[in-house]
Amino acid sequence: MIRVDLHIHTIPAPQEEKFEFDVQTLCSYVDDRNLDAIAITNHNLFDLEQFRTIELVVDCKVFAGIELDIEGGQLLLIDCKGDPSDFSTTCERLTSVAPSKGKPISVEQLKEVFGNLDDYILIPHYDKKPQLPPDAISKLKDFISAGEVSSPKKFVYCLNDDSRLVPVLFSDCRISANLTNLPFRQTYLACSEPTHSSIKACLRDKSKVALSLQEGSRTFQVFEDGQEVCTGLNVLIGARSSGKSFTLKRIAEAFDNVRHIKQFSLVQSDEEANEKRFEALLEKSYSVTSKDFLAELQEVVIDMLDVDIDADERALEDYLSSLLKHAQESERHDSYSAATLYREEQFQILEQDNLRELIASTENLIENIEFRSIVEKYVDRSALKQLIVALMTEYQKREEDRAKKSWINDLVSEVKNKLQFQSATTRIEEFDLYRFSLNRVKAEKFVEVVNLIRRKRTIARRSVQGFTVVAYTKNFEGAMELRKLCGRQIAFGDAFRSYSQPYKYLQELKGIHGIEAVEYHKYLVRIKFETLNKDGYPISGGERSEFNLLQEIQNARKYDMLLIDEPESSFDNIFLLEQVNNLIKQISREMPVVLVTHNNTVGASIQPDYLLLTTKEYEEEEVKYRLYSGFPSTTVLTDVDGRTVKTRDVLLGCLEAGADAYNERRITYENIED
Amino acid sequence: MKQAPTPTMSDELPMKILKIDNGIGLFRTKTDGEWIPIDKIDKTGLLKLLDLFLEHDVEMDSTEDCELHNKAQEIIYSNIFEKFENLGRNKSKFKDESARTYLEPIQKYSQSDE
Repeated sequence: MIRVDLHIHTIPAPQEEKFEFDVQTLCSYVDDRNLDAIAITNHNLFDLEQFRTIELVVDCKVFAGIELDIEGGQLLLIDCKGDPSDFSTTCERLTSVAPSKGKPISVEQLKEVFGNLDDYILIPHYDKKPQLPPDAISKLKDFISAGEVSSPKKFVYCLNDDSRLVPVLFSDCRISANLTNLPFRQTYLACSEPTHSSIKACLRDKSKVALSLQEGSRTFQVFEDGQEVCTGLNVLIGARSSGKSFTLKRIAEAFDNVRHIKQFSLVQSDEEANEKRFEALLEKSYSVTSKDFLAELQEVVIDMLDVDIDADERALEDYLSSLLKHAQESERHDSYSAATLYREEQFQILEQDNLRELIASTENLIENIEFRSIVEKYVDRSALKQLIVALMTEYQKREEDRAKKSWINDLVSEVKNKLQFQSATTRIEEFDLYRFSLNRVKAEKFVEVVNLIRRKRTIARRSVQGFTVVAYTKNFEGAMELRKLCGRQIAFGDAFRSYSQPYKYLQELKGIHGIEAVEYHKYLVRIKFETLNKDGYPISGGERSEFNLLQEIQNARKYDMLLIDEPESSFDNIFLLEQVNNLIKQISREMPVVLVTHNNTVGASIQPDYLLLTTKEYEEEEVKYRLYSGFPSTTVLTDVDGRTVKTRDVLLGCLEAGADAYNERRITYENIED
Repeated sequence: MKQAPTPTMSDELPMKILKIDNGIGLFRTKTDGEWIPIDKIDKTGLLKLLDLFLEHDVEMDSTEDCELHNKAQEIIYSNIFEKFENLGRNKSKFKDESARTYLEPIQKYSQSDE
């Protein structure tokens, strides 16, 4: 077996954070990870001079390579011809075909620059961002057999799925003096020499790639000393203060995208704070439900922003008083005010929404393919076409009319202004009776909508792991609730006094500085979430913590690794056995899970794939922390220095409080049964 | 006497809301209500006229057929008449637009529990 990392950066890409390459760090990395081969793969460039330096000082095979931006994804291209100068010249040709600097090239341009792609190893970003699109992979299928993934979880997933490429896991790291946590992302290949041909052969065969030297892809390295964990379910046991939580923390620090559920993190002593936190979590998790339910209300509220009944009434008053005054001044009327245009009304320019919708519906009837036979059974197609022509003709006619009226309105307005400027009489204020009337309708319907939405009702009900999450509408009960929703120190006291009068309340909200207009609808009705237990009652504090734990484990699916620290600290055994164990077991089939426990319900009943034991040992008056590990089927667990402990003793000691206690308990149960 | 065009909404008899009687412009805001000189109209009166206009079949005397003796009344009456006449021309559109206003939200939120 050889260990390789064919994805290493030594020069920063233009768009990424700058770093300074440190050759010493690269040497340490190669030594510490016992690498047999590496490839230098910088973004869209190959630096021959730097490559020569690296080749000279690094104690392993170094391949010349490049990481290319291609069709929206990325592709590693590693030279197999063994002539870095020639490779450098070829890479320089990239600048002549790339559409512009930093822009991705196409597969065709790749072939144009590199010629026969058989001379290279091609590895696309596969289960890793930015992924090479399937189209591009398909175009390159004759040259691609392996794909790069970003975690052991994805490596195992690809390995077990026959339709996926051979997975490879590489560091993709930037080698600088600041790189303190050297990565554990490398791949073992089942060949004896790191040559182009043998590597190429391994990359075509899933049985020849592995995460671990000894255990194939059942385990992978997590610590510098060579300690491994398995890709399934690991149970970490050990006495109090033997370093279990510390070990978990170290694993969390060594990898990206890890979900670490810390001990007691889901249980809070402050019941009220716990409830609030839980409520916030539910609101966040089910925000889509609220958003969907309130979508139409939001549109109504946005439309209502232009409606101001008070302003409309003031305009009506102004109109009327100016009309009356104008009339009273009839003796003062002069030649200007006598002109008809002086009092001329503006034409109303009406929207054509109705007609537009009618045309669109008719068009839909004509164009629809799925239901054409039904449509044609009842309506003649040629009649439909005649109808749409007639509607469009009417539309054009009305549009023309609108354009004319608009032009005339401008003209009338201009003439009126001049006449009114010259005249001694009071001008009659403009007033649009149509708009006025429609606004009143809108305000009435707005109140209707809000009153409807405020009726208490269930809007969604979902079953989640034996619990039921119910979303329902509810009125806000005070200004404090509004402030809580807002999340800022804004006073809602005055506004809330009008809460039962939706139109007035909306006007108050408009007057509050600090809340966005697109958010007003959220203050009209409250969406509350409640979680019910399997008997249909609101859950208790303990059940809430159980629900939290199950949700957290469930949500961990989007991560690459799950670490759980002593879930038994807060839960009873039946819950752990029935629900938590099941869920953890399921998730461990998709990703590595490390579970810390000293409870036999969790530890033994869950049937782990791998056991880890932390110990605190005293040697020559010095405290030594050790970590033993192995498969549960083996008789002994081993540490990195080759020390062993008996698996049976470990299980009995940690989970059953020792062999004597275990036997005593066993006899007690047998006696009770008898 | 010419009547301003308003679409027939039901079988009820049209109610006259604006009339010219012996050269005097008058309005009223309910059937059998008292006729009030048009120059006494205020905002509330105008709003009542609007509600009647929108919700019922109404009639109005046109200034083209009857002369108003008082110049001030003539200005007020004809101005208000024209406004309602304009609105009347678009009354069916207004009814359509009113009926469509927030129709979808009202239907959605009228539904009972999920």
